[in-house]
Amino acid sequence: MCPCAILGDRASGKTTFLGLLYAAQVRYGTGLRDDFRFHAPSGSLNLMSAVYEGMKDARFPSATLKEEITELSFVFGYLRKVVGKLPVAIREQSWVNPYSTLKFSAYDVSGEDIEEFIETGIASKPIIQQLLKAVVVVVMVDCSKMTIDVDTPTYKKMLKYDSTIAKLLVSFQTYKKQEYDRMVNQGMGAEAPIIYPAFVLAKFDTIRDEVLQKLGLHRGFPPVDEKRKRKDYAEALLRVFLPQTLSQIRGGKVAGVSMDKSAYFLSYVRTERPEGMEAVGAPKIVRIGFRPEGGGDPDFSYDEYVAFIEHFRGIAHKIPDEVREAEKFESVPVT
Amino acid sequence: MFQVVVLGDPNSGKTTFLGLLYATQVRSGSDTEDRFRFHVGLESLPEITFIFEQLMSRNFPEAATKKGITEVSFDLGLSRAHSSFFRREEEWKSSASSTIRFKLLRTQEEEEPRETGSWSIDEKARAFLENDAVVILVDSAKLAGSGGDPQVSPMSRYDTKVDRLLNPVQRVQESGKTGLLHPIFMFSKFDRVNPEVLRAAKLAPEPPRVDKTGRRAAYAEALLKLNLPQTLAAIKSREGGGVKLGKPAYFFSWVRTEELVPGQQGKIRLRRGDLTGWEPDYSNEEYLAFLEHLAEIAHRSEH
Repeated sequence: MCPCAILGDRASGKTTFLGLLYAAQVRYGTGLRDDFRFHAPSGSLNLMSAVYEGMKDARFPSATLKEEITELSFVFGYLRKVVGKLPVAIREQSWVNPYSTLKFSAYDVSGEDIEEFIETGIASKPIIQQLLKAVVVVVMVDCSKMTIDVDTPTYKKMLKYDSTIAKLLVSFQTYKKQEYDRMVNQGMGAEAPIIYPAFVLAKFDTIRDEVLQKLGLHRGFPPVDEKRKRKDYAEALLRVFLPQTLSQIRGGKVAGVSMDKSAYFLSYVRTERPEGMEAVGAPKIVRIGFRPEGGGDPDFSYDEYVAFIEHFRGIAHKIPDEVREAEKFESVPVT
Repeated sequence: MFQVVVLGDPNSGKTTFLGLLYATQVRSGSDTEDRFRFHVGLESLPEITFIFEQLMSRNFPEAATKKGITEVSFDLGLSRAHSSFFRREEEWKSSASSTIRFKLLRTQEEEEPRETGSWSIDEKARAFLENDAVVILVDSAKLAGSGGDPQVSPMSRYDTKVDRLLNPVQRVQESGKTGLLHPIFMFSKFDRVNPEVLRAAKLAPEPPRVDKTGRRAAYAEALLKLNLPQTLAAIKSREGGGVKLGKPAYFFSWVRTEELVPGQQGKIRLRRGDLTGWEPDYSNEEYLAFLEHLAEIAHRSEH
């Protein structure tokens, strides 16, 4: 199963993102097409559904729930095209592996965990080994921390976050390159390493108008089918707020690890904003689609979440073989 | 790997120089043109990103930070774009890039405050001779004008030390290396040069543009003649006696600071470009030219 990492610091919107991803996959995965499956261990499933249930009650995830996030993982399964054309009787045979799968794990990024690898070149902790094996890297970017006021703690937090993510990306690149070189040296055929990065611009509704204005951007993020425009828009933000990260994504190619296929997604959930006054206390989520039996769904960027799910379909079909090759070296320490 | 050693007196701006070099690469490596890419060596990352954070927070590197960084390596890649009829293709093969390692040669004074401030010639000179290029930082705040005694000028000791390291006989004897050593002068803190010094040397307040290499060389050498005469003589004598020194190059570094409060170091002034983020107000073009120069000689030396 191909390992994927979701990276974000505390309060970056990671928990909300996972709750909304759960909501999106429930809606999307139960559609008529039946070519996408979602699976999660019970602990993770409980947590994600608890987050979602809370949002249906107009609440954001509590701090207690967020503390459990380090344990969270889930699997995306995409029906292989050839298998989809087979008769159901054959498709359901145990020897048929109908789905290409990606296993996502969420990590809190502190930067300290990865220090050992940076300093010694050895990844001894299992969690770091698991992290560095990731072929897909999803980076959460908290748009509420995008400020042009250089003397604020928020600006410094973003600077620090940029350094941390850049360090992580270079660690991924170094690890992949070492693995690749080792395979080549042992006479095994290996494809040049690729990492598929994705950025989630979280809390996009909180980005300040003055920030967009200074960068010549409008508030409307281009729709999901306009990939080039989305890339330009998102990179205009990253260039200002995560320049080290963006430069190291591009620099991967120079180091022999391609990270050129970045994708960008938005995440937002609408909140109630009393007109003419500052909101007091925790913001309340706007809900839509109330049903007679009670409750409603949070008003969030559903299309973006579907795009997120679909983006990984092609990747999932492409990478399993590469990952299987890499896993042969699972027990070998990186030096 | 192309190795560059950075020489400079204590507090001459060595760490700031590396920080600004990194800032230049971050800026160029993330811009819309996408003509330049770089990769930082993992081992150098914690220090260089921390220096970057300090510069972007308007602070010069702290003393502890300076001690923490001794070397940093970058893989530099310049686009070898070629156009076909339908599309432009970029090539960023790692084999086409150059790995450049910068090593700071600190004086004993910086490492052990009780010592006299000289380089230990035996070990450090040997390490020095293994390099492909040498960046000689010239602290412009210490530049003196004509009329004084060169023996007692603020840079005379530094001049002697650099000259001893550059000593071609020593280089040939101890190294046996056949490659060229490329000397590069970086005038640090050029915003703090005494205007009287420039006036006395009949020089303009600003150095000639980066593309005017001949005029820049004359400008720089006019200052070096007065302040680092022995070093300049060693560099200029490269033509004779089997000396293996490349053609010298000259660059100027400055960082604008907010108005100085007496007794306190000024805060770095930040500027914001069109549609880009904040960056220190510094001699960006000089650093870009420096990187291009380095990439070119590294590429040439590898092929």
